[in-house]
Amino acid sequence: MKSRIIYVLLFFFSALSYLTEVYSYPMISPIIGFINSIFLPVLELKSQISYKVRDLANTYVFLVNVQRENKRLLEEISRLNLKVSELETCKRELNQIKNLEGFYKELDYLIASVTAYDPSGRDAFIILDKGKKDGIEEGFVVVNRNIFVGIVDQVYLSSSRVRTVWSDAMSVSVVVEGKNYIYKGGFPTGRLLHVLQEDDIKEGVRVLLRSPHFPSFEVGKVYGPPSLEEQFFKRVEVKPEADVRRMEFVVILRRRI
Amino acid sequence: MSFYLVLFLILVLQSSVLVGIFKSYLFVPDLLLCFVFLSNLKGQVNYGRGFLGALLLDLLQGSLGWHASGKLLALMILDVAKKVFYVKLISTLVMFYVVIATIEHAYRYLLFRTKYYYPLDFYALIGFLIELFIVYFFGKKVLKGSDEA
Repeated sequence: MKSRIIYVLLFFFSALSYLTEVYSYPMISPIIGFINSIFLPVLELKSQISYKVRDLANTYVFLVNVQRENKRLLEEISRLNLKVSELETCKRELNQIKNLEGFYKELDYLIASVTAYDPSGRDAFIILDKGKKDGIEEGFVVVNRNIFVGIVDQVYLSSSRVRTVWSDAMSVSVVVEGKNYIYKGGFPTGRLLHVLQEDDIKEGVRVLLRSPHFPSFEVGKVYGPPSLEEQFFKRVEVKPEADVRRMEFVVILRRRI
Repeated sequence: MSFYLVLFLILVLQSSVLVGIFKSYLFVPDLLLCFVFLSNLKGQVNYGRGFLGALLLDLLQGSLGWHASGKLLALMILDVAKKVFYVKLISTLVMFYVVIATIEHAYRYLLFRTKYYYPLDFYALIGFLIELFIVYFFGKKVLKGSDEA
C-alpha cells in the first residue's frame, strides 16, 4: 500500500516536472546535465540514427513518388504515341487531298484598306480602295483574319463596294454543325433559312462559310434560342462576327464562292 | 535480464528509429507501453520497472516526466482493472489494451498540448494500429505461456 502511494506521488511529481520544465531550474539543471553527459554518446547515436532513418524514409517516399510519376508519364507517352499516329494519318490524307487536281489551289489575295462605311449605320456595305485596275472582279470574297466580311458586288476603276454579312441582300451557303443552310444577312442579326424543327441547333454554335475553294471562314454565331417560325421551320438568328467599323484593312481573295 | 535487454531495444527503436519514420514523438507507436502492459499482465504489477523504462525514454527524448507519468498512470489503471477483470482471451486482452492505451495517449496528448501545439495527423492512427498489432501478436504468446504454466 505504501509503495502505491509513493508511485501515485511519483506520478504527480512526473507530470509536474514535465509541465514546469523542472530540469531547467538552476538547482536541478546540474544534475540533469550530469545525467545527460553520461547519456551523451547514446543521445548522439540516437540523433544520428533518427536523422538517417528520416533521410531513408524521405528517400523511399521520393522514390515511390518518382515511380508513380514514371508510370503516369509512360501512360501519357503511349496515349500521345496514339495521337501522333492519328495525326500522321490525317497528314497523309490531307496531302492526298491536296494532290487532287483542281481541288485546291493556293489562295491569291490582295490587301485593301476600307475607305468608307455605310452611312445608314446598318453596315450593309463598305468601300475599298482597290478596283478594276487592281484586278478586282464582282463576286470576290472579302475576309478579315478568319472572319467572312462579304462579297464584292460593284467594282469601279480604283475602288469597289463590298456587300457585307449585315446586308439584307446577302445570301450565302453556310455550314452549321455539319449541315448546310442558307444564311441571309440582316441588321442587327442575320438568320438561317429553312431550319427544320428537328434540327438541334444550340445557341453560340459557329456558322461557317461553305465553299470548296476556301477554308471555313466564320460568318457568325447562333444568337438566342431558336423559335418556332412556320409549320416546318424554326427561326434561327445569327449574329455576324465581322465588326465592320473596326476594320481598317481587309483581304480580298481573288476567287468567287 | 531479458527484460532490460528488450527494454533497451525498445528504447533505441522508439526514441530514434521510429521517430525518423513517424516525424514526431506524438505519432510514434508506444512500444514501451505495449511492453509494460504485456509484461505486467500476469502476476503483480511492477511499477518500478515501468517507471524506470519510461524515465529512460524521457531522458532520451528530452521530455522529463512525460512518459514517466503516462506509464505510471497506465500501470495504475492496469492494477485496478486486473482486480476486476480476468484476461483469458486475446480479444479481451486487445480490448483491455485499447482502453488503457487510449487513456494513456489522451493523457499524454493533453499534457503535451498544455505546453505546445502540434496538429494531430493520420500517422497517429497508424502508430496506434501498430501497437494493437504488436499487442495482439505477443499477447497470444503471453496468454499461451500462462495457460501452459
